[in-house]
Amino acid sequence: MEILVNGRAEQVEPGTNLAQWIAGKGLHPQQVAIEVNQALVPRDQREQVVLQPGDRVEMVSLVGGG
Amino acid sequence: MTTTPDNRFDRQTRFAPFGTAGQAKLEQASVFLLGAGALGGVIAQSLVRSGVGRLVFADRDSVDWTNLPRQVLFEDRHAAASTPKAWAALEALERIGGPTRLEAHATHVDADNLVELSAGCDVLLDGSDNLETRYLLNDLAVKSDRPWVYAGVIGGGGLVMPIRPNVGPCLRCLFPEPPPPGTLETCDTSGVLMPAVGSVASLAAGMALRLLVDPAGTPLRLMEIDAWHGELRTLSIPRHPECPACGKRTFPFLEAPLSERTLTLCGRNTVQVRGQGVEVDLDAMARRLAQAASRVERLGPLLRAELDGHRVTLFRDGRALIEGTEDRGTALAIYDRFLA
Repeated sequence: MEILVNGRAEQVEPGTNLAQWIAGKGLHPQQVAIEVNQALVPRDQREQVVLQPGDRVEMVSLVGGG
Repeated sequence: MTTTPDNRFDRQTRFAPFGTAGQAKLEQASVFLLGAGALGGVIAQSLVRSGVGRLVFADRDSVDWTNLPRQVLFEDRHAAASTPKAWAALEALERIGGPTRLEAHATHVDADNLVELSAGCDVLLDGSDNLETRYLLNDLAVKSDRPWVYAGVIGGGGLVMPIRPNVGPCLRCLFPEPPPPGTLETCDTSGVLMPAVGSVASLAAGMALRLLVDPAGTPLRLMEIDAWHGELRTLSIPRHPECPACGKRTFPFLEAPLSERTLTLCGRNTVQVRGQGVEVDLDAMARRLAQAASRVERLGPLLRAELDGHRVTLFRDGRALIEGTEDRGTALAIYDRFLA
């Protein structure tokens, strides 16, 4: 199924929750903030959020450089 | 129209949302800026040229040749002489002129001295190059109820977030804990472009002006700007009721003094820096350091690297031995730049 990640189409397996999706990208859970359909998903609720077709995901990774 | 020193700020006061009222407020304002390198240099220049009343800034580094493509206050001669960035920045900012009172500190900033250095400043600005410092700034801003602007840059872009504690979200509403050491790329490992620095820092400086002259109108959003892909995004994020800083009012970064992070190993010309209590993936760290270090070795339970001329040994618990110095600030600078 297809979701939109930062405005770009991306394929995910049906049934994938947000925590699994983040891990699948090789990202550490603490380095990203994620909105699904314009609502921030708190860290401790990521396992409960199962991605749905057409979901609009906005992901921002913390930046430490300067 | 003839121009004189008296109408120096004419063009910006003609911008109606800023106006002469904004200029008057700016000239009364006092700002603290942590870091005078890439982001800090552009931010400092913007504020001084705009005519902020007082700018206090601190930087622990000295200028090197790799700084010159993006650190706008420095020149070849500063790199040749390894001039402390705070002094080189002061000299460059003084040459601009204008009404700003400048106060430069060539020092490592941490929980031990941040409160004092930033005393009397209305807004705190982020020109730092590591997460430890940003979580420290967030703790101080929330605890002392002062606005601050988070800014971070890497590669071709970065993030900016103006923060009004207890009004909008703070850094820890979004990112409650810093990720473990070695997770994030740094400018030393993945590089950075001048236009990325300029974009991020200019946006941060704009938000600083807005917080000073029109705090209630400041957009309290996370903004992402990418000067390479030509992309802009904003995320409107609510405050997190369980936020460890602005929700629960715990300030561990501010309450962990320098003396608890480091231990000078007498007679060995070595400083030990304590980890953050999180296990480090030494293989991942070795891969990340490959670009920045002149030599990296993985030896069983430890990693050894040559960083900025210092032999560094890193253990799985995050503890590191920085050889070739007895100065805690120097050791922490290396730790925070490369290993945090």
